[in-house]
Amino acid sequence: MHADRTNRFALTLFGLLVLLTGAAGITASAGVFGTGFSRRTLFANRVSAYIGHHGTWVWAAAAGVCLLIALAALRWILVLLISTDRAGDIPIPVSTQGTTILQPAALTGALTREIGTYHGVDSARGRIIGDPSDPEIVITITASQSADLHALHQRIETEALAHARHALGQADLPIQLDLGVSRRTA
Amino acid sequence: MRLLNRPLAFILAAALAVASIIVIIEVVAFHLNASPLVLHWTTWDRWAQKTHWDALVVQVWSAVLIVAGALILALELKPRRVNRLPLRSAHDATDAAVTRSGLAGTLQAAATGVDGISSAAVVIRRRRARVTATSAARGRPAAAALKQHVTRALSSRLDNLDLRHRPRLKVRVNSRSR
Repeated sequence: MHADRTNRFALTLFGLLVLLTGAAGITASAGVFGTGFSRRTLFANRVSAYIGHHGTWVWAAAAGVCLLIALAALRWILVLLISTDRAGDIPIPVSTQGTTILQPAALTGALTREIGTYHGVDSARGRIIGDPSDPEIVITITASQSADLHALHQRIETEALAHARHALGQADLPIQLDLGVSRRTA
Repeated sequence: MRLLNRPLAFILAAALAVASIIVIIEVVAFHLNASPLVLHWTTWDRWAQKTHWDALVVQVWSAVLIVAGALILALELKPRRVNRLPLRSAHDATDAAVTRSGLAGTLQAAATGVDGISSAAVVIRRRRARVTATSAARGRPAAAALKQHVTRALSSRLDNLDLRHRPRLKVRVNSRSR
């Protein structure tokens, strides 16, 4: 699991809960639920009364829910600290009798070396993300300022990316290509 | 955004874990007649039993929560800055794009490639590219004469890129100040 989407979802949910709690507090305080309610103490309501009468099982259930929340939070922390979206070794079925294992670095190395020889390329970096059985290649190119970006894009697509798809035996292998331009003047 | 979200998420996850563990400890301690053990919640319980909803402290804390919640929501729901401008690709499975800084760099090179232009600053937005070039010669007439050449060079560079959504071009040529 890559954490970025989880982070955004959880923080949005948390922000919404905090906002709604504040809004409920100010609404109750302003007497929107009735002036009688705004003069009551914080625990003088049905929910607090229910918890007071059924405290034994409600607090036991709350502890159970808290255990689940704590476990989920600890897993979240673990994912935040060690997660990566990079793919592991990629299996390539070559025949009915065996499978070739391709290391992602071997493929990205070959790909970036090939692109690095193209005219107008300053540097090329690559990584493979996703599940090893359904990988995606991400290539980041830095071209020189004088480079013809359109011609470079066409060449990368028809040569290097076609070679990568052929190597993995996947004609529809998803590839993300990011073209940048060097800040250095030629 | 991603860089800010990670520490925020870490703080939230850690706070959730700690708060949940404290609740579990206190519930168990209560059943063993040893509560409060970690957190002196009985003080809060007494405070809540004598504080009214219309108390100033409730209003202040509610306002603080509203502001904090609104800030977090604004931070998370704000549209992300465009960092990639998609290019047309021959292959459906290729997601090619020029980076925002890359587009700025190539437009800057195109502008400074025009004879008489000494420097150029480029700002790329979601739908607009703003180029401010500076002429090598002094005087407004010299700058005005160059605007057409610069615009043509930049338009040609943008057309050649084959972007899926070509940003609108806004060109300004200033004369050298001194």
